[in-house]
Parts: sequence; C-alpha cells; structure tokens
Amino acid sequence: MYHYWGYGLHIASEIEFPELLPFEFDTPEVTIRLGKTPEALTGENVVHKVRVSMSPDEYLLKFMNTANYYVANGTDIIVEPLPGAEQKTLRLFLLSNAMAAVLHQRDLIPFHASGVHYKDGVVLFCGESGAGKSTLATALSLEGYPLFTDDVCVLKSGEQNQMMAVASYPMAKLWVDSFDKTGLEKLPESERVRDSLPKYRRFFHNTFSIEALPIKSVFFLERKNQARKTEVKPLTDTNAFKAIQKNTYRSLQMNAMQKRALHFSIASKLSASTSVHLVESPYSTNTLKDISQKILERLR
Amino acid sequence: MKINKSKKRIIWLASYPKSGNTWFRAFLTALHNDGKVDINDLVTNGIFSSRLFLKDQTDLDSTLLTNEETKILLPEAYSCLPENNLQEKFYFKIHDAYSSNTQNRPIIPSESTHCAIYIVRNPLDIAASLANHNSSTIDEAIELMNNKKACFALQENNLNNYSQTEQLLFDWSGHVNSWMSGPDFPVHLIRYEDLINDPLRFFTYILKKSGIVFPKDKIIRAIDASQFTKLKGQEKILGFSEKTLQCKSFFRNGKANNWQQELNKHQVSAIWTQHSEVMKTLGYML
Repeated sequence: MYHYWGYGLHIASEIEFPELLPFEFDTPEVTIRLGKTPEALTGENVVHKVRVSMSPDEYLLKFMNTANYYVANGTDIIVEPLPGAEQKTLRLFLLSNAMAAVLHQRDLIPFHASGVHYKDGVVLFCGESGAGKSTLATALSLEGYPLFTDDVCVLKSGEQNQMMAVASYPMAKLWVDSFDKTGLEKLPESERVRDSLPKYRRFFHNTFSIEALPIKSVFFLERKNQARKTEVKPLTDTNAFKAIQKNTYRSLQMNAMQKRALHFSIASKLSASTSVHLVESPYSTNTLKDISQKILERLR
Repeated sequence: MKINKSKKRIIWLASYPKSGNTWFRAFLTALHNDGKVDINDLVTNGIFSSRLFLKDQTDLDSTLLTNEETKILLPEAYSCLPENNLQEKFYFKIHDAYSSNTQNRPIIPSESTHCAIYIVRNPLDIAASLANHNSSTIDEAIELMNNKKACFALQENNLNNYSQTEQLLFDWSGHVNSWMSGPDFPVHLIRYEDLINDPLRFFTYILKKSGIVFPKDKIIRAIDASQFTKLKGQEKILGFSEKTLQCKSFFRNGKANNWQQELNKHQVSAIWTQHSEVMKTLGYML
C-alpha cells in the first residue's frame, strides 16, 4: 500500500498517486482499493442522478470509459477500472469526486477555492470553474506568496471563532493559456491532467503545507459580460454569507448527503470572521495582472 | 402546486443564434410574470449547453470533460430532469443544431420533451445581427453561417473556459433542416417576421400549438411588455448579462428586411447561393 496525506487525511492506497503527498502513518483514515463496485445503490435516502447515486453514507459514480467509484462511510473507496482506462483520468475523478464524497461522509466541508499563503495564514480565491482561481494563485505564488491549495480546500473551525483551511494536495491544474498569462514556461505534454485536455499539472510538493491555517481573506472571482474594468468590492456580511454558501464544492453531494445545515453553519462562521470581497472583471481580456495588483492592495 | 406527472415536460426554444430567441423568452417571462419582464432575470430555465446545469445533474466538473463526453451526458441529464423535479414545465433555450453524439444518440432526448418551438429568421437579416453579437465583420458572420461545421462557444481542443459547452450549429440551412427533419417529437415552426408583423395572431398560434394555455388579455399584456423597444430600453439602463463586452448593444434593431440597407450585393449573393433552397421554402425571397 502507498501512504499519502491528502485533504488533511491519512490515505492508504493500492493505486499510486503522484498528485498526493507521500506520508508516513500507522493507521489509515481512508483506504483506496481496487475491486468490484456495487451495481447500484438502493434505499429510500438514495438520490439518483446521471451515472451517479448517493446517500449520506454511500456514493457511487460510474465515469464513462474510465472507472466506477464506490465510497462508503468516509473511510473506504473502491475503484473498478474499466478496460482501457486512462490512469490520469481515473486518478483525476477520484481526487475530485470520490474524495469530496469521503469528506462529506466525514462531516467535513470541501470548499471550492484555490489559495496562497499570506503572512501567518492563507488567502482564498473562489469562483466557478474557469473563473481563474488557479491562474491567479499561481501568479501570486510567482510574486512570493507560496501556493497553498488548488481548486479545493477543507474548512474547519479554529479557536476563538477563527476559520481555518486545510489544503487538498500539492498539485495545481493549469489551462494552457495560463502559461502565457503568468509567464510560466509551458509544461510538457506528458503533464496533461488528461491526455484529451490542454490542462496541465504543476506539482508543488516541496512547498506544500499540511497545517490548518487561519483564513485571512476570501476573494470571489467573477467574470462579467458587462464589466468594463476590474473592480474589487467588499461584500457585506449578508452578501458574503450568500456567496460562501453558493460556493460549495460538489453542491449535489452537499444536498443529497444532507449536509446543508453543516454547510450553513460553516458559511455563517466564515462570513462573520473573515473579510470577503468580490472581484469583478471583464471576459475576453487578460486581467490577471490587474486583478493580482488590486487584491494585493486590498490585503495591504 | 399542480403536479404534471407526464415525463415529457421540456419545451425547447430552439433557433439559430440572433433569430429572436431572447425576445421570445422575454415574452414568455411576461406571460408567466403578470406582464413584467426583467431582461436580466428571465423565467426560462437557462440554456441547454449550461455547464452549471450539467454539474448539477452529474456531480462532475464539466470543464474536465471532453466535448464528446458532455454530448453523451447532456441527453441523459435532460432525460431524467422531469423525474427529479416537480416543476410543471421547463423552457430551455437551445442554439445547438439537432444532432447526435458519438454514441448515435440524439443530443435532445425525446423521452422528456413535450415539444420544440423553432424560431426561424431570414438569414439575410441574421448576418448583421450576428456580426454585432460576435463583434465581427458581416463577411465573417456570413462565413460562419455558411460553414457546415460551425460552432458557437467554440472551445478548440477542449480548452473549456466558457460557461457553456460547445454548440454545433452546422450552416444556417443545416440548422433549419436538422430541426425540421430530425426530431421524433413535435417541432412547431414560427417565423420571426410573422411574430413581428402580427404578434397577437402568431404568439397565440404558437402557444396553442405548444399546449401553453393563457387567456387573450394576458397574451396581449405580455406582447406589450416585451416590445423590442422596451427591452432595448432596459438594456440601455441596466445592461444585459448575455451581451459580450465588445458587442455594443444586444438588442440592435430587431427589424425585418433591414438587410436591404445593411448588406452589399456580394454578401446577399453569398447567403442566397448557399441557402436559397431552404429560404424559398420559408418564404424568404430576394
């Protein structure tokens, strides 16, 4: 078994994951095994959607031509690879979907955000896929703010109402156009996250932190057709709460696994304890530099 | 709330881009909303190609999927939507041509479809409107309309950074033909020009055909509230979320036969040469 750290958990796996952080421990909290997954989930509390079913304790995803994933009790993942499956794709959807199910089943809240280290804590960037979270975090890492997490982190309550974040794993996923935008050298084709996608994996194992760190600030990135320039606006507590609540990672899981109350409580605490801003920028132009400058101004 | 137990509850508002789809959605909004329209809050259920919709139905981040994979999942997602939702009727805008995915399954599932309303507009009038929408020249717009493999929201090599999945259009004639001859569910054709010239008659006609029942006075109010000039006025004051930054105004002039002032003879010829056969069947003549 391979031993890793990911999402704050000790993971033992029959599958090798270059994406995760190798880590020594005695007892795993999550075990990933290869095997036969159930044909279907049954029971009154099971929600069935397209090729995916879930209840508070079980999750079954049948991902096209790649693998079936079964997650139970927040501790066990069974993967049934399909013939000819691309290993990178198999791992990608395990790390995004099956691990999100593990977290929900353990009453942990995955939060859709990339982030960088700032002073003794972290700053998080939220937004829909394609909003530019990973590119922004990577750009700031090149300016001396090390990358904390990409795409997702786990929220936890700390002392004195301080909200904390735990990173997911030390890999950023960057679309090919991010290299031009950030000035980073393009990565080789072998580093694509899937062979069919121009999205590349950039590891940061050497600077990765496994500590839960205080959340200093949250920025919501939003591209708007109507926006003419980049603007950073503070959100009121109410609007911050709404934005945080909307920003669930795998919202379908949150609802079907009956974690709304838990998410509500975490969103309330985060909006009350942290400064939250909206970053509006226009589509179709490279606003990265502008956005990062304006965010740094706000932080100072 | 009245629960409609039929599985066939989706009404597709289908059209080639810039053919009056948004106007039609504004009309439906007014109809369902006591004569009130906010162009940034239309009551219809969004667009077929929405990545957000796909995520909500599959638990997958669709930006991590290939275009082929999204086209396999979309019909499955729309097929089971009515089963998992109590909403009496769904209106989805769609610009995709009626086509099949790599598994030879139509991308629009007939098992959950009540009908489609296909709004067609004279391609000679679409050209300048499409150029305005895409911030392109009219020649480039015509090139798109004549390209049999044309796509909207094109994401080359799966660079999936749009909020919508890629939409295969075919050329203008191919788009019309795909919707007229492909589906095995009812498709009700309505000409944009007829809706402009005699809105009460033709909105009433298309609603009746589609099984959407409203009294005459409500239809009249909805037509009044969704007048083109009123929508344009709202856009001027409030902006319009579906407009791109480069596009000056989403609601441009909306008139019929404006092509006579907007296109030169080469541009008219480029459209007529490729599309005259379909245009003639729809009554669009030079």
